[in-house]
Amino acid sequence: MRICPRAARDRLRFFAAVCGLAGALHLPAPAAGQGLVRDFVISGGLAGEAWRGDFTALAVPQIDSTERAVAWVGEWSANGVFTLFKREHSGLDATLDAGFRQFATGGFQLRNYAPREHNGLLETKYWHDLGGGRHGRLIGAATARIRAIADRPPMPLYLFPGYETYRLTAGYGRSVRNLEVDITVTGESADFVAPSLLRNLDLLDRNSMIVEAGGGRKKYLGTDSEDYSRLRFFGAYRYHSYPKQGPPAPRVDHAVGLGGAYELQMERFGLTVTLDVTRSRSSSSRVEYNAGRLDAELQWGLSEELGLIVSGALARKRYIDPGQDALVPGEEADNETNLYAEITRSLGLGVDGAFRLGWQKVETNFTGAYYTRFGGGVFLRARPW
Amino acid sequence: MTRVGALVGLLLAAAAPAGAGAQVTASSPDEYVQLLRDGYDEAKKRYELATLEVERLRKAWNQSLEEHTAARRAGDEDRARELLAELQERSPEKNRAENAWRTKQEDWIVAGKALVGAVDARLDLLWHLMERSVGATEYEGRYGDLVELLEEVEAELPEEPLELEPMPEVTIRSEDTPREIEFKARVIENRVAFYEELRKQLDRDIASLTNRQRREHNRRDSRRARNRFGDDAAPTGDQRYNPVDAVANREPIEVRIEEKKALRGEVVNRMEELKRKAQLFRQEAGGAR
Repeated sequence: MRICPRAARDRLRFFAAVCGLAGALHLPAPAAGQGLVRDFVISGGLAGEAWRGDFTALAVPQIDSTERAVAWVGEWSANGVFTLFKREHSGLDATLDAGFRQFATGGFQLRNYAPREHNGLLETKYWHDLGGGRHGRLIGAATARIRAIADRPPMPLYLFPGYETYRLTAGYGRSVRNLEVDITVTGESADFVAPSLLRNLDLLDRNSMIVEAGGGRKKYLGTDSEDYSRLRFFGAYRYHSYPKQGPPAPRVDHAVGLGGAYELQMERFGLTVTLDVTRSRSSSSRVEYNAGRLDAELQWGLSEELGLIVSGALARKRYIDPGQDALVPGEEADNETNLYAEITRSLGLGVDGAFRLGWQKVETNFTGAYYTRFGGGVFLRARPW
Repeated sequence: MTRVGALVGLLLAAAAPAGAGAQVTASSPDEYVQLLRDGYDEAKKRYELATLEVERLRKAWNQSLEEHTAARRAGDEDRARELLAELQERSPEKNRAENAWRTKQEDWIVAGKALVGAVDARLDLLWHLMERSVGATEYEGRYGDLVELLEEVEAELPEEPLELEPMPEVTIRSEDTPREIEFKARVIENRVAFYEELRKQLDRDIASLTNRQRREHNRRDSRRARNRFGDDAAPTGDQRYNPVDAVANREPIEVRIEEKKALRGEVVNRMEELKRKAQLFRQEAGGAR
C-alpha cells in the first residue's frame, strides 16, 4: 500500500518551489553585509540496517509475523544556511533542508517493501538587537517541516509517519550581570497525513503551545579565546491538544519541564550534556506520566582531518496509572535508548567522508514489547562553496 | 589623512574627554601626547594593581574552597561550617574586587585608545613637517620615538577586532636628499614588517577557526543526518523542541572566517604595494646619490 497522498506530494512540490524561490531571491544579491551563504552541503550515502522485535504500533498499517528484518538504504540530501540580510543590529537567516531516502527491505513474510521518504524543512529567523544590543535581542522564527513516506513497511522496521508541521516562535533574550536569560513562546500545529485506509494516523494530529524560560552563564576560557563553557537551566510549560483523540472531549495535555544543559566547546573537543524531566498531566487519565531524558554528545578532533562524534540518549517514562495498558497512537513505547558513533575524514577541499554506526532500542514497560535498530553506513558530504 | 585633517584630528582629540572622562588641556601637540601618555601609564598601573589584588583574593578563595571540600570529605562538619562562613564573608569583597578590576581594565583600554589616536595624528603631522624641512633631524628622532611608543602601547593593549588604518601617503619630493628618501624607504619597510606579522597572526587565527568550523560542520551534519528522517524519533510521545537561541552570540564562525580572510587579502595587497614602493624609493635613492 502506498502512503503518499497526492496532497502531500503537491505540498512537497510547493515547498520545493518556495525553497527555490528563496534561493533565487538570495543568490543574486551579494551586497555588502548581505546574501551570505553561511553553509551549504550536499550529502549522499549508503547504509545497511537490521531490525528486530515484537513491537506493535497502531499507526503502522501493515502487519507481518516476522520479528527480524533488514534493509539497504540509499539517501541524498542538501542543507543550506543563508543570511538573507544583515544589518548592524538586525538580520534574517534561513535554513533549508531537503532529503530523499530509498529502502530495499528483506526478511518479511508477506512481501519485501521499498519505502521512500521525502523530507523538507524551511526555517527563517529574524533577530533584532534592542538599543544596539544593550537591552537584549528579540527574535521571531517560522518553521515549516514536511515529510512524506511511501510503501511504509510493517514492524519491526519502524519508520516515522508522514506529517506537516508549522511552527512560529517569538523570543527575547539578554545578558544581565553575566547571566544570559531568555524566554521563548512557540506555537505549533502538526498534521499527520493520513491516507483513507489509515485514519489512526489522524489521532496524532496535535496543536501545541510551549513557553520556555532559561538562564545560564557562558564563560570564555581565557582572554580573546574562542573556547567556552556554558551552563544553562530552563523551565517549560507545554500545552498539547489532540483534537482527534477523545472522546468525549479532545485530549489536552499540560506538561511542566525542568532541565539543565552543560556545554564545553574547545578547538578540538566539545561536550554537550542535557537533562530534561517532564511531568505531564492530561484530560485523559490514562496518558498521565512522568518522564526524564538525558542526552549527551561528545566531539573530538582526532587530527586535522579526522573527527569523532559519539552521542547517546536515555529516555524513561512512567505512567501514573500503573494499570495503563491501552496503546495510545504514537506513544506505544515508554523507554528509548540510542547510541551513535561517527568518524569523519576530510577527503579534500570541501569534501568529507563519514562512517556512522547507530543502535536504538525502544520498549514498553507493561508488555516488554520492543524493537531494536542497528546499522552502519558510509556518507559523502560536499561543500561546493 | 591630510595635514589639515591631522591638525583637526589632533585638536578634536585634545578637546575630547580622555581616559575615564578626564578633560585634557595642552598647549602643544607634544604636550598633549605626553599628558595622554601619563594618563595611560597611570591607568595601566591601576589596572595592574587591581589585577594583583583580584589574583590574591581568588587564590585565598580557592584555597578556602579546597579546604572546605577536604573537610567535608573527611567528615569534619565543624571545620566545614567554619570555612563556609569564611567563604560567605569573603564573597562580597571578592565580587567588589572583580568589578573594580573590570572597571580599571576598561579605563586602561580607553586611555590606551586615546593615546594611540593622538600619537597617530601627531605622526601624521610630523611626516608632513619632515617632508617640508629638509635635513631636520630633530623631527626624525621624534618620529622614531613616537613610532616606538605606538608599537609599545598597541602591544600592551588587549587585541581588538582588526581593522586596517588608512595607509600613510608617502611620496618623494623633488628636494628630498638620498638620505631622506632612504629614510622614507625604511619607514615603508617597517610598515611591511608590521603587515607581515599581522598576516602571520591572521593565518594562525584562520587555521584555528577553520578547525572549529570543521568540527562544527561535522556536528551539524551528524545531527541533521539523525533527525532529518526522524531516525531519533521513537514512538514514545516525547515532543522535543530545540529552543531558538534568543541570546545574542558572537558572529557565526563562517562570518568571522570570511572577515579574517578579507582582512588578510587587504594586508597582502598593501604589503605588495608597499614593497614595490620601498623598492622604487631605494632605486631613487641610489640614482640620486
